[in-house]
Amino acid sequence: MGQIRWPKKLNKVIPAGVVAILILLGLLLRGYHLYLLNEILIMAIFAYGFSLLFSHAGYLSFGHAAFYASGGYTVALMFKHVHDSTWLALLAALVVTAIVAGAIGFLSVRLGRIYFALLTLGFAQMIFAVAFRSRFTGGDDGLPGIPAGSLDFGFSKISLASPVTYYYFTLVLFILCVFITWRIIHSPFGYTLRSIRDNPERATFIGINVLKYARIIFLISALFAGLAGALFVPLTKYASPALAHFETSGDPVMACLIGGLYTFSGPFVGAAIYTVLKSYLMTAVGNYPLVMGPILLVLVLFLRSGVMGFLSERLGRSL
Amino acid sequence: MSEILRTEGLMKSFGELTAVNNVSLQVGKGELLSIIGPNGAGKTTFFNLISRKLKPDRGKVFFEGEDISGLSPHKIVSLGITRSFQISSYFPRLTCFENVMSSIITVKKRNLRMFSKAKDYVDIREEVSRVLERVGLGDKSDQVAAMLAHGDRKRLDLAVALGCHPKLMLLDEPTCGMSPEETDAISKLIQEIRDEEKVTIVFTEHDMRVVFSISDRITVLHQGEIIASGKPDEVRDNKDVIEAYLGEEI
Repeated sequence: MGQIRWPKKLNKVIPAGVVAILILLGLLLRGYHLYLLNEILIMAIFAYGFSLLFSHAGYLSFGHAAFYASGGYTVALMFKHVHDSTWLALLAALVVTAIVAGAIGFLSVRLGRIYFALLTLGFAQMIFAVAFRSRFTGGDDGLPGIPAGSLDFGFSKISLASPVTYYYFTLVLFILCVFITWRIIHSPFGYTLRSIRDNPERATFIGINVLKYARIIFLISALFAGLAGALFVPLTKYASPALAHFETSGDPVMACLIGGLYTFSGPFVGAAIYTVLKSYLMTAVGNYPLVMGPILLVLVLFLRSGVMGFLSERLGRSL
Repeated sequence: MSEILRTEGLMKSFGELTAVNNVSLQVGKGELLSIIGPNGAGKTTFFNLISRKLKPDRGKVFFEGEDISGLSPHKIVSLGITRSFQISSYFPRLTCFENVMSSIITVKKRNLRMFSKAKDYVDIREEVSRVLERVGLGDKSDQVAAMLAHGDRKRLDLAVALGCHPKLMLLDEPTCGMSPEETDAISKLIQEIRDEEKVTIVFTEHDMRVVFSISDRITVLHQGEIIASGKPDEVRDNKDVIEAYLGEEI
């Protein structure tokens, strides 16, 4: 396989270039396209959180919708009943997500990987049932008419009602999340996670308290999901039980699989491809699971390392 | 010689089978002790009871005079007991360097540092290189563990254990499946680890040449029980031992 020499400078140039393009797109795109790009960033935050748990620690969660919904509904309820401050709403969303994730995570990581997947799925279905039936979440109608919120900096207050402002706000949080992910995976904590992923028994016998670190990364991963949900609801102006639906738990799984589980850019690239595909297939075919199924098959059979994994192998450089 | 490890009446059964039966054993500080016995004698189970991979049905384990019977496995490691595995155990997707780094991060209690770069710690880097050199993997630092040859995997397993700064190492058949040359190299390495790193070593082994050439003391297990224990010469002539091995010359 031909390997291209990789100038070291590109390590800084590429991320800077991507950020520049994202800033520029905020100025160029309008209407539905801007909305879609915004959705991609939110999906990417969701996917990065998921990848920390799955790609790095080896725990496959089928229940991240629970945290996405916790974040989403909390923001909706805060805006509706308390205050339109986005800071306050996001803070509340993260606190609620942490509580939900703390309980679910504490119970789910104990029994090993297969049970973990099933337990997270089970818990998420319970959250879905609550969202679907409770009066305070609006039952199956959900909570419509959620405002975009506003940022209060003390000296001035910025409304997020304009889609462009909201997009830039999301972009800042997206960059922050990517940065946090980057730091975590190169940290001692990141290596601790990967040793747990590769061989939990060996990890135990070098002195790692596997359950403790599994719970911590579960919580961090859930907070990413909670933040994603909290950003998504004001974007669509609507909190619906679909936030907690099983399909939502599948979203970050699909994004990471498409982009490549073991590459840094995978969750972002995957989120972009998946979101665009989903949106166009919705309008073009109407029945998008019909197309998503075969795509998943092709990925698992022929492109197991995902798009960026495939490119990484070709370039001989981890992307 | 002061005592580092003592077991008292350790017992473990799997259904009808008593794998380890009332085993009481003392290991002195700095000793190189081998545990031998025919297949199924309970050697691995004995290690699993000390390291708490398995919970004993009865009996106690004392390490440096302290009762460690109730502790969880990772706690036991932090006190200074590490082990290797009969089937080499390591982190397959990580490089040799990263494998050992995981141990060293843990022994230095830096597992929760989330925002510093692991490879920027000079003390960690130096320590990893030293351990890899010590086991003879110095030139394979950047190789992914899953790609290593069998012998090197055994070495890596040892390196991962050694990275934990142990006081006592339990090595489960460290030369299993190796060529005679590799076997000699590993026995030499085990002696070096004992002499230079001041680590007490208990190991199980099938290769009698290794056992009799490097052990200070040999304990023979048969059907879960200790049938003999002593200096190599004493054990060699023991009638029960010869019988247990069915007349095999040892």
